[in-house]
Amino acid sequence: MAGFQGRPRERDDRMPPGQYLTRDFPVLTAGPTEVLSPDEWQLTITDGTSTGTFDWDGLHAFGLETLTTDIHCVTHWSKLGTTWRGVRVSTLFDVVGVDDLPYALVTSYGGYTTNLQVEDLVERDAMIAVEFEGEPLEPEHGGPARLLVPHLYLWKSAKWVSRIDLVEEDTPGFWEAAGYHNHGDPFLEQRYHGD
Amino acid sequence: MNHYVDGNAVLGAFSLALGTDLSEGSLECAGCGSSHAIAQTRVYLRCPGMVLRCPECGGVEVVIVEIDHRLNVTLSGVLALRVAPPRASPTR
Amino acid sequence: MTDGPRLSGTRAGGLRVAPLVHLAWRKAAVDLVVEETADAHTLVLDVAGWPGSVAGQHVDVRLTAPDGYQATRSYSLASGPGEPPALTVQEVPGGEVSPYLVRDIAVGETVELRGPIGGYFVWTGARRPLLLVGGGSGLAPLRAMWRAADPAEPVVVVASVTEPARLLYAVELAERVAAGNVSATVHLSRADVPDDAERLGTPLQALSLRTGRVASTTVTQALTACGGTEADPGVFVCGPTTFVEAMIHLLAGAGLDPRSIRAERFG
Ligand SMILES: [Zn+2]
Repeated sequence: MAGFQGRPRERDDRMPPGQYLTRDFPVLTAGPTEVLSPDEWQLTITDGTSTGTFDWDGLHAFGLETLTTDIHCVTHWSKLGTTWRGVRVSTLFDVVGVDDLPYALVTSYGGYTTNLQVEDLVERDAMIAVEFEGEPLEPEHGGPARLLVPHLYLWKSAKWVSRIDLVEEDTPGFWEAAGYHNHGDPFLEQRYHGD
Repeated sequence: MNHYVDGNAVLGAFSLALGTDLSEGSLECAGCGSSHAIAQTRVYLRCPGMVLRCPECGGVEVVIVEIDHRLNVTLSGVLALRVAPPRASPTR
Repeated sequence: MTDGPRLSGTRAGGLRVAPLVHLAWRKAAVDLVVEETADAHTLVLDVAGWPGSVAGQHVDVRLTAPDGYQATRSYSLASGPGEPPALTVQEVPGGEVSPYLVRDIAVGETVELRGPIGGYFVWTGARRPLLLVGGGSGLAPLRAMWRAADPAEPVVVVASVTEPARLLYAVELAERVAAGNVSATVHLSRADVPDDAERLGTPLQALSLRTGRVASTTVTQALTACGGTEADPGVFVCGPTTFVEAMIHLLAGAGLDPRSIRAERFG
């Protein structure tokens, strides 16, 4: 008898430490799945002075960009070569003309929050994603629109994103307040506070 | 879509974290003021921790995260935690 | 249920906190495997110093892979209060833990266990008679309850399964029905009731089978068999979330105060 092995844990060189490969797309959620039609969805971006609100058509007016990237969940699974379509966060920040503030607090429909450094939202691939693998993003995966910050653990990629507040001072979000790392870089294995 | 189970699923971990048996424990929700058994909360486990939500208003009451074999408990949505069952039916 | 915190004064004065020995992980060796259905097995465990349990309680089970990876799951105890702990595990296809516990684990192998846990979905004998409503593997903690009941006590069981082959504890239920203290109505949500010839000589012969989901008539009859809503029966409902919600709705519709129902949901 081999004893308990758990799910097969495949490794790949592209993967951060402590991660295992998954081929399906596990649904992780800290609350009920928000079911919103594209008509109901809106995203507000504000720094307290300049404010911009984008609805479904307003977001699509920028044209969708395709991004193929790996994603990493702090619960130890990674998914390689996923393809998303959406609009870069930096594009939206430019349009609203938000000022150069260091931190962002992201809020979802349903009340979930997560905090990021603004540079993580503008200097790499962060986008407001509306499609996954050529299909509209399912509600379980954050559809109609979610934040995607692929170079950080996936809890930073808030599903059902409704608001981004740019702020002077960093405030921990939902998991960050519960003990997860403030930054969450999977390659540095920043899982928990103090890692 | 229901991805929750009931509070019985976390009584072990929650009791361990607080160092007392919470089998008959109750919570008073900071969001809506209702009192209910911990066993009646809605628990979300398919996430990076354990999230206990109020059965009345759905607000987050407790978040438990296991960090290096220690349990980190955040009681952000709890007005009162009692080691006993709720006393009277809440007035709403 | 007790009324206050588990703090008690000693004669010498001062407060004493009951030690939490039962919340530590303990080794549990598989003593016996009972094949309940094709994909549900009951594991009877040998746990040194098992303190006994209250009907309806559960335990956490922890498995450790050779590389240190651990998985923890909660299972209801299907064993009566004075019996060694027994867990009925329903295999979840594609699951990580249940296929191991149903397909692979053998007598003599060990898991880690903590508990018993739970003080809400429990029957201490205070409210009677018992009305037990279970969907699928939700029958497990209800078995602990009917085993805890006095043999002279009527127990009314309502079960819901997709088809007869998926009914847990069919033989035990049939025996208890034959002995006279249990009445059991089994709804087959996705199968027709087999005809008399098919049931002859099987445990199903003793059970009252009905086609379709649990209906309001079944719930009303079950409540009447317990002496009606004024009798304040101990009502326990366990099963998948949607099943439990539906049953609470039916019981409330039959006049029962929903606050008097103890429910346990999974999945
Ligand atoms: Zn509440």
